[in-house]
Amino acid sequence: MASAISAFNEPSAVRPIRSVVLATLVLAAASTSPRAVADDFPAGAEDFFAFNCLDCHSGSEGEAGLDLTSLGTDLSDPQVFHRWVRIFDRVNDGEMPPADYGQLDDDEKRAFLDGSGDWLVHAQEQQRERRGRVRGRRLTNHQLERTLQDLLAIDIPLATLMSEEPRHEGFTGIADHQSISHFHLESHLSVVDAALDEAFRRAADDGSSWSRDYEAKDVARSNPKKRNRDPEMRNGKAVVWNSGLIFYGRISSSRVKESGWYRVNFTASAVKKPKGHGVWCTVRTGPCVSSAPLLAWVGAFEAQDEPQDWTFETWIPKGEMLEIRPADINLKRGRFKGGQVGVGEGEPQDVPGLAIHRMRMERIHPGGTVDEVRESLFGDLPIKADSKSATVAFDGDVSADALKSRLHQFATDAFRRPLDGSEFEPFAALLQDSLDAGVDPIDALRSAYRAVLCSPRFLYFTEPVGELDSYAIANRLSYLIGNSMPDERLMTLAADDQLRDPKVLREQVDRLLETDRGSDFVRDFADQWLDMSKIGFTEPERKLYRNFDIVVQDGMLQETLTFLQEMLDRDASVGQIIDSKHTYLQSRLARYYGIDGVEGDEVRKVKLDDDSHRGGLLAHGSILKVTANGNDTSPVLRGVWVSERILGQPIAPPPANVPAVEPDIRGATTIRELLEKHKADPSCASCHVKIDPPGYALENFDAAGRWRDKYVQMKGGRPRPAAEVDSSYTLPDGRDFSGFHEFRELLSEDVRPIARNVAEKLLIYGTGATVSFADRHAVDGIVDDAADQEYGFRSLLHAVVTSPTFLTK
Amino acid sequence: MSLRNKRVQFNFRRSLNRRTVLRGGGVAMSLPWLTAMRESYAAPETTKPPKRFVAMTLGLGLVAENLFPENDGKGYKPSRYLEVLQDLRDQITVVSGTSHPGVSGGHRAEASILTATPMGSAGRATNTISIDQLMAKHLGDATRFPSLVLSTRGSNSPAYTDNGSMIPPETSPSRLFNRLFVDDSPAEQKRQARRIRQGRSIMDLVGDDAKSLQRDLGAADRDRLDAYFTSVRDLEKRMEMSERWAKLPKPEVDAKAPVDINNPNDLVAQQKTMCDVVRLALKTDSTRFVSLHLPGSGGVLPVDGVEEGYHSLSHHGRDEDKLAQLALVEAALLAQWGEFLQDLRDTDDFGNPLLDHTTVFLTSNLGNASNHDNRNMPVLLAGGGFRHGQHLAFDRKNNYPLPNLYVSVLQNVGLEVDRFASSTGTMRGLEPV
Repeated sequence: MASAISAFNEPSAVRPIRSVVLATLVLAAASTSPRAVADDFPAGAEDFFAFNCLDCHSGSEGEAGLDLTSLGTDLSDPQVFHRWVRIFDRVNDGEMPPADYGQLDDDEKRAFLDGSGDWLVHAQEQQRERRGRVRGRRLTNHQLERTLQDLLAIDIPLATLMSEEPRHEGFTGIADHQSISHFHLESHLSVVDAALDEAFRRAADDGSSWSRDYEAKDVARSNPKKRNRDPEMRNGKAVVWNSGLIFYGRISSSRVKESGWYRVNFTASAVKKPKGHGVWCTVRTGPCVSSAPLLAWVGAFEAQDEPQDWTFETWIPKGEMLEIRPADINLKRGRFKGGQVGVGEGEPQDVPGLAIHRMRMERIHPGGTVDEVRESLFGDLPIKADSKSATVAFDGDVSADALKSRLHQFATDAFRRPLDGSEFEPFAALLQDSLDAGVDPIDALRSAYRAVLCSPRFLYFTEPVGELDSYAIANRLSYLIGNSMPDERLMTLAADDQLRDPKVLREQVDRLLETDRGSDFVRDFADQWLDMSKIGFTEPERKLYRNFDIVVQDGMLQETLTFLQEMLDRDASVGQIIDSKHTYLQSRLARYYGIDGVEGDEVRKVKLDDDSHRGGLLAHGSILKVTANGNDTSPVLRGVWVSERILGQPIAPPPANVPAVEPDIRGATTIRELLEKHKADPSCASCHVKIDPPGYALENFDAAGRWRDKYVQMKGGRPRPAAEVDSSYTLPDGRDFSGFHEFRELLSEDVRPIARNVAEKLLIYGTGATVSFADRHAVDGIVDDAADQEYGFRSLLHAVVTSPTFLTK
Repeated sequence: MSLRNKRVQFNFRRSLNRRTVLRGGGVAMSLPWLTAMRESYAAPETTKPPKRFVAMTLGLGLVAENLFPENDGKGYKPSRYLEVLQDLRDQITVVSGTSHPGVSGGHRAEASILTATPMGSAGRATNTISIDQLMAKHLGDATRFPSLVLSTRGSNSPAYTDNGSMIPPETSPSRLFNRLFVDDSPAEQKRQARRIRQGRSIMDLVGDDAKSLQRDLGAADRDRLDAYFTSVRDLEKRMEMSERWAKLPKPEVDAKAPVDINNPNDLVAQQKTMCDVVRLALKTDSTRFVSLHLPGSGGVLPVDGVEEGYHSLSHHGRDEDKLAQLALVEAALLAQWGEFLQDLRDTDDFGNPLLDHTTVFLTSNLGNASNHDNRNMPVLLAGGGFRHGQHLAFDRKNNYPLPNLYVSVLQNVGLEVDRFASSTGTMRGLEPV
């Protein structure tokens, strides 16, 4: 892609002057089309089309639906602009005109690319001068949730109350793809109410906290005569045997009376431990009744003979309880009649189990203490709280001016920039109206807060055209790193107008990454960039994927997040995305991958053998799983995903008149045979030349991320080995590879495109706009900035944040 | 499988007590008629029964060879799926060889089912209004709920507003029932009224705030803030209507609130429970325009003979065993659809079957779920006063535009439109009675 830019930035070559006598003159075909040709339309382009393109691309029957005679040159129409970029790219990449049409003259090509490239960039830059690159960006669901939490010092989940938002290339915060309607606004109002309800409820709280210490007998079932799914007492410990029974291992005495965050700490050990490893267990929460079968994930651990302590923090909704149980699909399972377990029924079956020695549950408030909640609502206004009636009142008389100045502070915090009088006036007036009408001052304040939180100044990013002001920079930076409002330090720097200094910006990136919110940066970014939020979307069929279980899946996610976090912390080259000599595993995933010598339930760095199939993001189970279709893989789906998300090669959707390849799992034909047939069509071939190489290279990995040499086919209800996997193919530039290993080596030779892609994704994620034609040059600049650090992940992040594109609307 | 088994019978009062309605005082007169009241006010023959529209959309399509009959016209020989709908043969039209021009993208095209707007191609950022919402926008004022947007699960619906944002669906039949028919306690009503009143003044304020922000930011963000401003005004209008409706009691029905289906995989039972409430909503004229989405799920449907997950079955890859199981699932969904039609036929509306005034439409974005093909969409149309009983067969290789059907239906409910999305006219061969 880098060459595309230089193509039209270098002094242009001599333009070929050819007098064209062809009658069909394209864009000038004014007789058939009312469209006028733009004044600045590159000279010579019409000739270029006439000679090279019009044979196929004219009229309503034009190939791939492209009719150059009617396309027009009105670049203010996004569709038209997009079409022209496609034309530029396809000529630039040598895909068009097609090879069998004859070789394109180099000078002719260069002249066309120079002219049309300049034309496109110029059009876009002109538009941006007037309107900026990012227009009207709104907080995403995730950002709205965190902002309300941080503003009010609360911690209840709010995103679950919001309606799903559209994703574009995986990203939720793209301004051009955000929409709003009265349905959203109505739902927003209810989210705001839920947040304010919680804050006012907390403010009235007396701050006492709840906790309970459990002995083993409190963890176990209360009545040993009853058959149920709670743990049983065995040698003074509460024991759960390994079994497939749903909710077996629920702890009825842990049912919570209030929705909230809880810290759970327990001591546990393995029972009848298998050889070679401990008993892997899961911690989950749920109502644990058969009418509500869903369980929420908390975490996993590996119990050994020696008792150990574990601590988990989790949100538990009112009425739900903990379920702690062995969860390793490879272990022998106990069988119990009628879906219930009686005390002593597991013992003779010789299956492994988990023994809980003790437990402590404690209600916590990660969002803030009662004092912090009160401060966020009332500042230093004196209040008295009554926890019995759950109400707060002002302690003594509070003047209207004092209330107004409190509201002013709240609105400043919520709008994330200083307020001048005129913006604040309507909110002050609303407060005054309520007070005049005799509304209780607390209620009056609350309803004014409600208005503040429905204002577009709260919901949208305030970014005036041109260079961003300090506050807009503080906001962009804070939402990029932590998906929440700027903290005090950032606002102080904004007030001192320090945030234009690249050194300060880099320091702030580093500082923010260490904060609570910033520690989620990698996860938040990977959720969108790499679809990690979808890792649990499909559940591989047990018959086909016998070793896969939910602990393996969690291990895969941890592997990828740790890998990226380490890359960021050490400023390691993003080339590791393609190939790396190490990865991060806990013992369960190592066993699944077939890697020996990894112990323990904490993810640790594992050095890989030279001939290992693992190493690099493409061989992470998480990536292989999200790019598969549940139970089968498709080289096309994976190829498109890898091209777009990792290699930075956008793939255009298939032309409308091409039917998708229909997979035939009866084994009559392989997907390769089907695809080859499909590729015989030149309009398919031009994209598949890019899609297929990564798609085929990954064919040795199945839908659950395991290495396979042969495909598996279901016969008579059982999986049987079928055709051998062939993962050899040819890169678009003609170099052959024999399989995944060689593919990885070839790609590793040039890290720059990978770095370019990471920079683009960070820019999209951090600004809320896609990388368009005119941004290509800027992205090159960002990548250049990080070249000396071998394209380290942290260096790329620094370069993005200090780039003119990030600092301009 | 008979359509008639296990029907839940709902009994209605013949009409609302007039005094109940007049309790609302002068406000009642400014409100449009409620069907249930109409018998007390006007002779049926002088009032034209309102036209309704119900769209049922499937996330995973229907296997074409089991749905489309081999021959076309009135004398078509029923296909495997149509076999179970033969009681209703004269009330149903089956349409083959149609799709939305330019719409592709497999599952992504779910967003286009009722809008016919291509979402797949880059450059186009937003969707456009869906057919049900277009009806609600122009004709929805007459009822307490301008439209109902429903789904059996999940957070997606095929219903989109004017500016292309998706309307989140209601997924709980019991919650829907409560919203339709159960009055809040007087205290709660008061609280709600207060919040609505306060909400209206807030909307007023932030609407002005959006205008002032627009001045601060200049032309750049105008479109976005305009959309925000429009949303504010729309919500204000809705709140105003809610306030007025809140003063009227909800219609009474002699039916208990349904119990939501707990098994998340029991799509057929969820469909049935939701349809029962939809029928009540139509009968009481609480709404006239409904969309009900039936998304595909990964789980195994509790249908005899089915062992594999629905989504996995839809990727049958021509495997005979999978195709056989998939046919069982799809036949059960269609039988349930037929049962809903029967219910509407048996429900009286101005002396005629409710089905005569209700167009019921069934389709999916997928013509072939196995390869995510969006052409040859499954299309069934019933009731509403069209001449049915036929198979309209269009070219399966070069599809006829389905938006033409939308124009026919829009005209049928009384909207004077001659275009919708990429339509080229009304649907050829589909005539009103």
